[in-house]
Amino acid sequence: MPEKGVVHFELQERSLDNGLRVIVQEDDTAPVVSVHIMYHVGSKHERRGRTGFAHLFEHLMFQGSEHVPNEAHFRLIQDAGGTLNGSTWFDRTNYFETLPSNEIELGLWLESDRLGWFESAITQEKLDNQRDVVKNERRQSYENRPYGLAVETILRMAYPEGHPYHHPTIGYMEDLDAASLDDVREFFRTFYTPDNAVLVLAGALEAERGYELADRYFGEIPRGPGAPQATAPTVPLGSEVRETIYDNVQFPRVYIFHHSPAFGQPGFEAADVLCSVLSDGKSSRLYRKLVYEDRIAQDVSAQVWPTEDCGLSFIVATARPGIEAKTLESAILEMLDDVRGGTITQREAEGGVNRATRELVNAFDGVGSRSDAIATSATFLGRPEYVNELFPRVQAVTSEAMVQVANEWLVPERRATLYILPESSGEAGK
Amino acid sequence: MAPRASLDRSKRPKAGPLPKIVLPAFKRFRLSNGLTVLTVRHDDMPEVSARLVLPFGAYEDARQHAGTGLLTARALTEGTAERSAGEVAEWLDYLGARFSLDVDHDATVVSLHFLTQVMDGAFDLLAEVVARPAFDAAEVGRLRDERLDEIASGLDEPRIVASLRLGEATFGSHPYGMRAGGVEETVREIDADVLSDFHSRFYRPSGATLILVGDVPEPDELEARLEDAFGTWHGDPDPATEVEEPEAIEERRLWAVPWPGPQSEIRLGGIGIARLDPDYYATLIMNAIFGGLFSSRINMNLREDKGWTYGVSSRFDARRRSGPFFVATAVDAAVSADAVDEIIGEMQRMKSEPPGDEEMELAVNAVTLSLPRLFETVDQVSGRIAHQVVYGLPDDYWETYVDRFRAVTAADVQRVAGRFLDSDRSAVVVVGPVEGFRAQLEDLGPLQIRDIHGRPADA
Repeated sequence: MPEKGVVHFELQERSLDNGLRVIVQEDDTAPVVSVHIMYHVGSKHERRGRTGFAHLFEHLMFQGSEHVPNEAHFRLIQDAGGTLNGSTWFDRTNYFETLPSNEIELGLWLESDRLGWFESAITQEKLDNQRDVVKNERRQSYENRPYGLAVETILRMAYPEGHPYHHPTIGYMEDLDAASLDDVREFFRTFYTPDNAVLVLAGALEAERGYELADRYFGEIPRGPGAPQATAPTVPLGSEVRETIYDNVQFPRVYIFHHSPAFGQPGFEAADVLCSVLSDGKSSRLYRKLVYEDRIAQDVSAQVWPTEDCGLSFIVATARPGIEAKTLESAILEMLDDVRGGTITQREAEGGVNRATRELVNAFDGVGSRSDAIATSATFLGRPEYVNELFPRVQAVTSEAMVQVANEWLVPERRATLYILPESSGEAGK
Repeated sequence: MAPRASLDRSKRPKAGPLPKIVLPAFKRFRLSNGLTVLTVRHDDMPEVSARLVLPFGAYEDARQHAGTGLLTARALTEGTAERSAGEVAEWLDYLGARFSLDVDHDATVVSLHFLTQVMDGAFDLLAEVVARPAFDAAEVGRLRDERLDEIASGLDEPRIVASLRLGEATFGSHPYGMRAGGVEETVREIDADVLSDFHSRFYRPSGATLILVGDVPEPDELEARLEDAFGTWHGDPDPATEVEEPEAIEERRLWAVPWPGPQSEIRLGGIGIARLDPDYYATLIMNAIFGGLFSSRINMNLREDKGWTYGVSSRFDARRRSGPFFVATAVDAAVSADAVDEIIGEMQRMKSEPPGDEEMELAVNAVTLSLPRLFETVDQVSGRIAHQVVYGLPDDYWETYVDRFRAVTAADVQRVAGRFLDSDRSAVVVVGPVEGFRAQLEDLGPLQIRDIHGRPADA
């Protein structure tokens, strides 16, 4: 029986001859299995003029391969009662299915076919169609959404030109337009190789059978030439960067970005729990101050993103009617000063740890998100078992650790501040 | 590794034998105050998902105070007879529990997710906030203002504007035409007395159900603990209001809302189905084929064939009475009216031809073979049971689930398509740069220009 909310997963790992790392986590709680393959390629690997390409490529991976007809991927998985998707991040791209356990081979067949037999199926027509789909994704999720351009603006501000995290994963329209079939082939050959991937199988299966099946479906795919790795260098301390943009919104919103510890680096969990102390729950520091007591914000959130190289965190608050952005900013900065000064109590710290622990347990309940965490640990750190260290690391966070991370990272020298103001209030409204 | 057996890649691998699905059988008992408790032990993780289901939702809101049910639920944690709002917040956050609310027209569900190690505190907290909220006037005034801010902010989002306006265009003055949280004019009128009154009429243990799924004790021990926590909560609720059936749409209602942007948000909908209607199962299969699955007709057409959108889907929101049916998408503004035409065309096709064998098989398989996945996590299990409770589905509902869908025929699908997919009796809302598509949209009928609030406007 687990104690104190600590969870431990037995992981078994073996590599195929072609370099594909296979990790199995047996769990027969429900008759389901997750097939999760993560490639160590993301938007940070994109070359200049081809932003958004890793994500566009992810879309093409659903357009069939030599033995899998176009548009069959979703149909076959859903026909088997499964669910599926893919996602692109700065540092990696993943593809995953959760299936009834008797259909694990369907997942392996589909994943191996698009890794081993992709090129013959790709056409200009498919590229053009998915380019249109992705451009509509950009319009829907970013351009036509309030504050939708915030993150790409702040990345541009916080990372210098040419830095791998300077641009958003969705990419820019003109770069999406420029993507060619040659780009698709070159990208595929460079990054989509078994030795640049991790395959996680979690759920109702035995490890030996998992290796056997992985070898059966992936074993004959040749090793690649070695995918070049792009490392996003830490941005040196500088002076705060500030910008204001205007949007079709009624209420000002403030984004305060800080360079922060990356996933797996010292301080990541302290930063994560600090975010919880700042904004998770109605007793959290920023919520209580900005939303409850001063009633200047409609909402406030603090979060740290799990990136591989240099980390990033955001504090975001939306103004109530009649409140100015600078009022919000001052209140947030005052609170950060307070935190850096060491005012977090032991009880607040414990509460933050309790919330973060509960969230971890909740996230690892399903095989899908659990596989994701295992694959991320394997891809970023080379150590899938790191997933088991997350619990003790979170539980070891103290108020002192949070003060330290605040003093090291949440400082003006690592900050970018963005105001998004109503068009009617600024030049754009004139 | 052993040499690989030769592998025929040309065909999809055969499925293994169907796994044995152990559906979560709940145990039921009743506390002395009448509260029904349903529990499922699911102890692989040290967590518990609790859901308290009250069989009263926004339908009980007084018309002039629409939003009462939602604000009452939100006020639960804003102070109790024993504790101030700040003290409740601190207690909840120290436990590390996640408190969440789901108020729709049919029911109110108060959920708490927590780690086993804090179970006793979590029960005490849940009982205190549900049974003895303070409804302090200042706290309620603040909650009301927050809800007004939320309503105002929603008008910055074309997708929200489109959904709100579709509700009105479809249901007119029927309560289903308004979201469960009310609108500015009604929320503005809500005060602490309104909430307190709603609470005293409907937040009663008799008729309510507490669902506990996860690492919980055996029923005997659990019952004693729950008696301690919930024992002082008493009483019977008012009888539920009889829900009226919405009126059918007699002719196509066509609204355009001017919004500058690179896309148009499109909603097309009508009166759908009630949860206990015998056609419910056929309707879900029909919807899967039409717009419910990724591989549905409308998504294949608008996304995978034409590239006009990131995605389009359709949904039936089955309620106590006929709830909404709707298609939702955001498309490149240049093809706004074309997209509406295509959706209407697909509705026609769904009615005029029965679905093919492959389509039927995909839809039925997607709905039935996914069963093991529906009961994987504690939140999923408690959520499925809550659905049974709200709609009075039998205890063995999930045992009969597969057969109910397997019994649906292609003729059934065509018949329910005829019943629901009538584009002449539907509502269409397009939020986007109206000038570009106005003329083409007017080919479909008289077009009304509305502002983001739904008021008649000039383009």
